[in-house]
Amino acid sequence: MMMKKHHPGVVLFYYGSVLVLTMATRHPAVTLLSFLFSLILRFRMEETRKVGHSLFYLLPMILMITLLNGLYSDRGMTLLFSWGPITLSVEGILYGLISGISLSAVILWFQNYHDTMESGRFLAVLGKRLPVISMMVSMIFRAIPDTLEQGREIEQSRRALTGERRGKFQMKHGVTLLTILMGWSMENAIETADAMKAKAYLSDKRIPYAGIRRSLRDLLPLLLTLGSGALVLGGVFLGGAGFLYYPFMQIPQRAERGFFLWLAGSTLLFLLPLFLDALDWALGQLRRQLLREVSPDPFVLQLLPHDLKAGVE
Amino acid sequence: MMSQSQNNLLKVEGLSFTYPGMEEETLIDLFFEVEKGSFTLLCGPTGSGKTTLLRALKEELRPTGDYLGHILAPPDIAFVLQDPSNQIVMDRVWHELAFGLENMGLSGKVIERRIAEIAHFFGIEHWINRPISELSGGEKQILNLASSLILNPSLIILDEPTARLDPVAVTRFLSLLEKIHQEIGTTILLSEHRMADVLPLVNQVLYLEEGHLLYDGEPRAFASFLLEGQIPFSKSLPAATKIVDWAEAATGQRRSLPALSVPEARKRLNGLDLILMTERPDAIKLTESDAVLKAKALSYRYKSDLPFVLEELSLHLLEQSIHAVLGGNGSGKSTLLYLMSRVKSPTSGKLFIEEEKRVGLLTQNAKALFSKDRLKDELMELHQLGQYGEEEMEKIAGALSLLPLLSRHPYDLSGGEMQKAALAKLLLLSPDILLLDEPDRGLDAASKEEVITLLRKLRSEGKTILFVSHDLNFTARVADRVSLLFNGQIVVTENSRSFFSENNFYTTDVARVTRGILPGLVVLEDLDAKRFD
Repeated sequence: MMMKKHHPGVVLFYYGSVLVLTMATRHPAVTLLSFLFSLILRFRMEETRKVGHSLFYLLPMILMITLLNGLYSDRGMTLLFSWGPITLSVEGILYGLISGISLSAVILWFQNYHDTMESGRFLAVLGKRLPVISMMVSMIFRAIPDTLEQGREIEQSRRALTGERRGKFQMKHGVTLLTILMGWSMENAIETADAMKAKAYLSDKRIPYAGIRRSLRDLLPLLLTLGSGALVLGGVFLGGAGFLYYPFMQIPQRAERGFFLWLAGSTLLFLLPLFLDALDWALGQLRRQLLREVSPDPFVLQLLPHDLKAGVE
Repeated sequence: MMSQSQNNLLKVEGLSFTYPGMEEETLIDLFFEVEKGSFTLLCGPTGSGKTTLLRALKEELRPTGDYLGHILAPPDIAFVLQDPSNQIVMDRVWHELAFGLENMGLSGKVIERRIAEIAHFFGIEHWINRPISELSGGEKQILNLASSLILNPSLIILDEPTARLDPVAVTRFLSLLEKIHQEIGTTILLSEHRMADVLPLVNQVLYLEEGHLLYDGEPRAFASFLLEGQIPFSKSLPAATKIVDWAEAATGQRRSLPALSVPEARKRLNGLDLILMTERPDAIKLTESDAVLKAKALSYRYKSDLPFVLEELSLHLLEQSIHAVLGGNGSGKSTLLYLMSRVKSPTSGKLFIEEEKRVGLLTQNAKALFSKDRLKDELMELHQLGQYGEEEMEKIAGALSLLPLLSRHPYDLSGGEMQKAALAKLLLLSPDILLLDEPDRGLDAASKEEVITLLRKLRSEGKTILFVSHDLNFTARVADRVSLLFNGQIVVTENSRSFFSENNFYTTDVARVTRGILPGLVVLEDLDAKRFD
């Protein structure tokens, strides 16, 4: 769900569009929408506790950017406070606030992207073009956790053997640990190489298999991303994205024409993953509803996938 | 290279092999054939040349050196090695399955279909999308088997594939191997030292000793070849075989061929009409010595949001005794050892260790300890810390038959030899309390004997030993007291003999074979004390 099952190319395109839009604009309405929807999506994808944890870092960051921009910017005309060279204007503070929120939104969207794509799926897009690199990266993805785990094991095994307590870090111990780790990793690499040879890696016939398929399901998010993107661009073209912070905050005259397109396009774009999820859920409900009305034979019911059965039994 | 006319898939004629720089031949004048559809076991003591022979059969893995003779082998041999993780190339299960097929240049459609087929055959559909790092050792080895079979090879060679696995995983792995043989008819050549599990499955045995092929034939005849020739390797035979042999010899009713499986052995023992004259020997009387190590209500969890691995666990370790902790996979046995050696600190609870008693823990993976280029330097590495000299080192190396290997690189030792080398490192530091994490893993029968002898000697020298293990036969032979770890707690701690004779399922092979026929038998040594009318 949350686009996890869609073609990685589509996911990449969607999140690319969202990030470009979020980074490119300081329009307060769009930035706030972006932040809002990235946060809602975050709560849908991750445990509440962990989202709270990232907010714990993001909120002070927003506060700091707000304050810094307020102090350094002297272009705002609505003065709140002035003391010698230091001036604090409403415009400066608000611009800083929106910048901070925009940065937080970018971070949240990135986290959402990361959870959607998982490690290898990005490579699947590259696989056909850059087979060697994509395979190397795939091997590295495995090597990193393995090596860390081995390092931990070496450290613990040595302390266990000698009965020494965990003390200050000693260079000598560090060197021994590294020597062991290097020897062990190289030994492992030889075995991996043997296994690769045994599976005819050197045969020159290799054609990478990406393990992904295009399906009709990918068409909807693709079209929606394209459509809402077009609305956004149209809005921008008509000037609807305009917003002035300095010297006074205002929506300029020329922005009135495209404003609606701009706002609607952005909202649609940010909503997409939530919309797809809601659609999935609604279709599922509908199917279950229909199934209940038909009330099939228990034997037939047995053959149905779990998520369908759940609502009927 | 392959001759299609015969029914032979593999033919070796006069094969001799010498490693570069070595004077002695590792393989000497071997002749044998493997038929299509055969399930062949290659066995022999550690260092007899099994791995060299298996690798020589596959061109891509053939060791460099001098060859004599002919090998007629099919080109499409799949190979499964000992270490579960090192053989895996990719980072996800489906991609690992695809790897060999990608190398064959097959199209995506074919690859998908083959993955689906093999996943179904192995019953691994539900973990096809998992990352490799989340798999257990047993699952990894099953994946290795699957990613070999998916290539549709005419021969699968497996070099001690279960040596690093726990018993539950071994059973699952071997039953899959049998399924492949029975249902697909793929020819299998397997080297393995778990004879009890494998002998009933195979139809051909090749026995290698110091580079010579001493036996080639049917498994039952192989058992009698070992027993009649009183070859030391007969220690590796299944308990069922040895008991029936002993009982039939004792009653003078020897039949021509040995028994291989438990039901068969029970049937034959029942037919013997045995009457026991002497009572079973009493267990070594345990003096109620003081506890040198007391764990009180230990609890441990890895993270505050994970469930407890150990919960309120209490255990006393009596001075000068050998104590075993048994338990299933992931029952927290290793964690318990880490807590007792103070490498990890308990989440709650207390650990008391008698003053001035030093604790040493030997962890599972010997490779985590080796940093030198020669075994000798490796063993001398901690001589300052342990205050020992070359003399002590050679004494301990001798007790574990490591002396001839001192100039070798630690990585060139076999799995069992590495395990013993790591044990030697611990012994040289002469801790008073030895904690051992599966000291028997990967050892062949002869090495197990050495470890058993050594542990008994250490106890008589005043050491206290606690080990965890999966191997009930090993445990029954060496432990004085046994605790069973289940659900984060010790559910029972008992004298070893009563523990095994009172358990119905969780007990030794010997007890399973003799249950209700020769009561009270737990280990083969008990046989020596028995007399019949």
